[in-house]
Amino acid sequence: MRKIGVYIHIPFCVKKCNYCDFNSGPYSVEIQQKYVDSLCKEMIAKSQFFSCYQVDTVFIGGGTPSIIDAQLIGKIFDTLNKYYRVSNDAEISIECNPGTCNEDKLKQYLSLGINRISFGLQSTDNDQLAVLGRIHRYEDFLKSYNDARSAGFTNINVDLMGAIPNQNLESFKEGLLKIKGLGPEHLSIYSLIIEEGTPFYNMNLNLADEDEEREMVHIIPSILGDEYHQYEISNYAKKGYECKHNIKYWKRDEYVGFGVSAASLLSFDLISNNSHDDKRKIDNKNNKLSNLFDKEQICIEPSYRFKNISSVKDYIDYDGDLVRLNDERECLEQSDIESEYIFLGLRMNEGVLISDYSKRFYKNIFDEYDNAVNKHIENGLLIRDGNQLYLSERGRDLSNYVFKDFV
Amino acid sequence: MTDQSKIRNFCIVAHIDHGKSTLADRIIESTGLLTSREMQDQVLDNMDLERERGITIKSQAVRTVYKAKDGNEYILNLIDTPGHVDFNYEVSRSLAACDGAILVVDAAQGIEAQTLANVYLALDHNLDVFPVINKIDLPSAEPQRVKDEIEDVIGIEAQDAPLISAKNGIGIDEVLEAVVNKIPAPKGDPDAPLKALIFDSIYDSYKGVIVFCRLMDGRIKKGSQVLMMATKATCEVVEVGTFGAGQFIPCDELSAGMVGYFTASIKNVRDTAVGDTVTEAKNPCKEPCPGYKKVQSMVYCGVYPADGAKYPDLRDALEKLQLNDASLNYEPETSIALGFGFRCGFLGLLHLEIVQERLEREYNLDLVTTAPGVVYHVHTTDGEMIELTNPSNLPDPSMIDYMEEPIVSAEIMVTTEFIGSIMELCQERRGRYLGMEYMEETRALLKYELPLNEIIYDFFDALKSRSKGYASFDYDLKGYEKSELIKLDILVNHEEVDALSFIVHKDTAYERGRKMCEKLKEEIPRHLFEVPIQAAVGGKIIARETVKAYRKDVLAKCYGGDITRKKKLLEKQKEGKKRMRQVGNVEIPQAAFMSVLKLDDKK
Repeated sequence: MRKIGVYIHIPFCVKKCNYCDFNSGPYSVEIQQKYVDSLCKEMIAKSQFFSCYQVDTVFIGGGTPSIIDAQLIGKIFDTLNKYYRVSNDAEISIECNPGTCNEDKLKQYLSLGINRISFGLQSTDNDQLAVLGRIHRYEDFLKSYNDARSAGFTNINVDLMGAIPNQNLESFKEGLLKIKGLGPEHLSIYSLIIEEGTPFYNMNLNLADEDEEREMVHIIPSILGDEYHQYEISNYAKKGYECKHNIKYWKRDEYVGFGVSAASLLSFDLISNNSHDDKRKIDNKNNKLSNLFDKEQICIEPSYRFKNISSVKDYIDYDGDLVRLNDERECLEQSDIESEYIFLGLRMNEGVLISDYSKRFYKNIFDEYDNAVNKHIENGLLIRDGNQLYLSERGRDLSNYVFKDFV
Repeated sequence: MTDQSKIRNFCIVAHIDHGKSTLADRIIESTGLLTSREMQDQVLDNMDLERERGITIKSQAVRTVYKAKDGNEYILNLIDTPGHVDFNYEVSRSLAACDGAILVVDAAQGIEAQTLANVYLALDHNLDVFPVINKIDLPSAEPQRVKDEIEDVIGIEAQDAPLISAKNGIGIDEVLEAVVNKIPAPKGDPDAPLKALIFDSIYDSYKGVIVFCRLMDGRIKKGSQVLMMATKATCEVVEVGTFGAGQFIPCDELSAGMVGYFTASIKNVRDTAVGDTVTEAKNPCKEPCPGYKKVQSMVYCGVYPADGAKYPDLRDALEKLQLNDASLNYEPETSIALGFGFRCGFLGLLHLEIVQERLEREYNLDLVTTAPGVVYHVHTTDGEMIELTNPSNLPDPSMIDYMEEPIVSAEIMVTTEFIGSIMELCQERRGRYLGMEYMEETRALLKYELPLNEIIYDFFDALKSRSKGYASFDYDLKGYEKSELIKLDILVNHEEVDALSFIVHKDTAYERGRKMCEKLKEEIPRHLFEVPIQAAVGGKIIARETVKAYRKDVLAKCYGGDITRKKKLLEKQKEGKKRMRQVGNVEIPQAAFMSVLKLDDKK
């Protein structure tokens, strides 16, 4: 049976952080309820396409999914379990912000089948948390973390940030050591990026320069030691705890997103609509995904990327017309698929397997990319080890520089 | 045969934006040549580029018929001339084809530098000039002040000048009456041997060259055997005719006093040089029309295809453009940095920009152009004189006795509050102050001699920005003068980049070198290694900047919703890379080769 990952976007948070450019913000409880209603409608409407799929990962992201009432999360799972085949051993993650979940809520999550918690901590330094505009202190995180453990979660991620204003290498190291001491199964570590349109963009901040920022990134493995390994540019895990859902993004496995701004990557034939299951066939013509494309655009080797509309207001008005829910759609050509396969694959430390590439595309990766591969091997940015092609540490620093030769 | 007393040949002279083309439009419209439905703005500017920039590049002519108040019908031949200093020679030839000129002056702005330059040019050609005051409906219009100014400054009668608004069609009849009454009729001898002045020509792929001419004496018709007196080309006339608005109207014969065109299966506009005289091959006139000059390029630059494989396309495009533009010169050259291309000669910077834009637009080429330079005279120790158009060809210093550079005499009109900053600018550009005249209390005319190479770059922009847009400027080539010039070389990652070399005066070399390095530091992207940028004179480094090595170019987060955006970002980076030239192991963006143009940082 084909496998698919499910992403569910909850665009709500208590207050926007100073660096955040995601589609999220504070909304009333009433809007939150209506939003979840629309979410369930969308899940139901799209279920017709996935009747022969098994859901093996679920990721509830945001925003801060943990701020909405646990019953609303329950409603989402009711719909999911009713209309989709969720496998028993699926990885089911939810993002939580410290201070927005108590042990009770966490227990409810566990009972819904959620088995992985991702905490957005960012820093262990309360001054730095204040600069970032986070609503919590380090102590709040410690409490939530311990609550999650005592509720029974055995797979926990912690998000940390580097290059925070006023942060230096020492305070970064110190924070990382503290967290390592707690022993989460997974760590995501990003460097702060000042995005246009965020409060940070117009502020005069004391930021680490490029060299210091890279020092922080380069020191991570030596601090984390053998217990953890880096498996992607920004992700570290204990063995066996790599995030299965996120790996789908980098391996170009199929996923479907629900909620505002959620993206999907689908590789089935839209025309036949995959509706082997006639009982669930819906008459509404608008609900065919192929309606989103001109006939000529339909791909021969199907691979489509969709993205939902971003407006919460429009989303809660959703009337069951899938076409109106769609904002962007892309019918990927063979060359797009190949280049995405490489530049997404190379994000992971294991890189791209040369034999996998041949198997998948019926051609040798060197047919087209011989020059690019050799150039970057010479520059010391790419490493070829037998069947494996992966980025060196410097290659990860300059990954865009490498990737651009594969698009 | 047309009665010469009923013909008026005239042109309109004005400073840019004072309303020359709009008045031409109104004249065409009100004489009924085109209905207002057929009218579009700037009828005579039929190149897209002319319309967009609001300038006239090619000379045009149009023939209209006007029924005057005296009850007679007059043939009005309006010759529209280019308005830019680059095309001064073309302007002078168009003026020579006329008997009179309308001087258009903006009622708010009054006389500007080009007003003066153009009106003097018209007076030099013995044209009868009468003024009209345009834009009188502007709130800031001061017609009386402008009339007084015209009388004071130019010395022509202006009190009864028509007060018009070309834009709104006010006073156009008055202008037409003035054309009939104030501009003299031509006085040629139709029975003398043919003598016609070529004031422009265009290439048509069906008819060959279409020659625009003014008949001074004699007649021309189909079958005439004609001779171009300067180029010595002879041919048999296939068609003669007059100018409609945007079309050619064939007729049987053109005779003395008339303005029209002829075709003769001529393959190249080079054979029909502007300013040349057409006469009968068997019975030539005694003297050609005065004032013929071979056009000379004032500004040179290297033009290269961004994609080396497009070299043949560029050659074809230049060939085709030259069919229509006799003042464009080109010859092949090779650059270590840029590969195969052409060294092209232009009348001036505007001409250069126009050609470049036409190549890119009409021929779909992506170009890299090197910094424009002027023609230097290099006198070698063995007594020879080399005309240097490409800095890379400068002989070894030990071979050079001395060098000369072209000097222009410039007139800058400026409001008094900016005199100080404009004088400072001229000083920086090695100007020699000649004098200053007050036009009126608040405006002055500054006279300078300036080296041409100091004004072809960004002088005009600098002038505008330092005078808040109030200064206007005009110049004339004066001649060559001895000067202490040296070649400034640019080294990128220790390799000399020939296409970045340029010639400067010894005293400004250090300053220019430093600025050039700073500019290139901004333009050249970071590499995996450190890239030093150095300026050198005769092997001695005089300035240095360093582009730091690349430390980081990574997108930390890339999940489902980020992939499309990320891919676009990478594609953009890749596109950017395409617009790079590889020199040694350094990639230099195409724009960098023009950096020398933008060294004036004082705003």
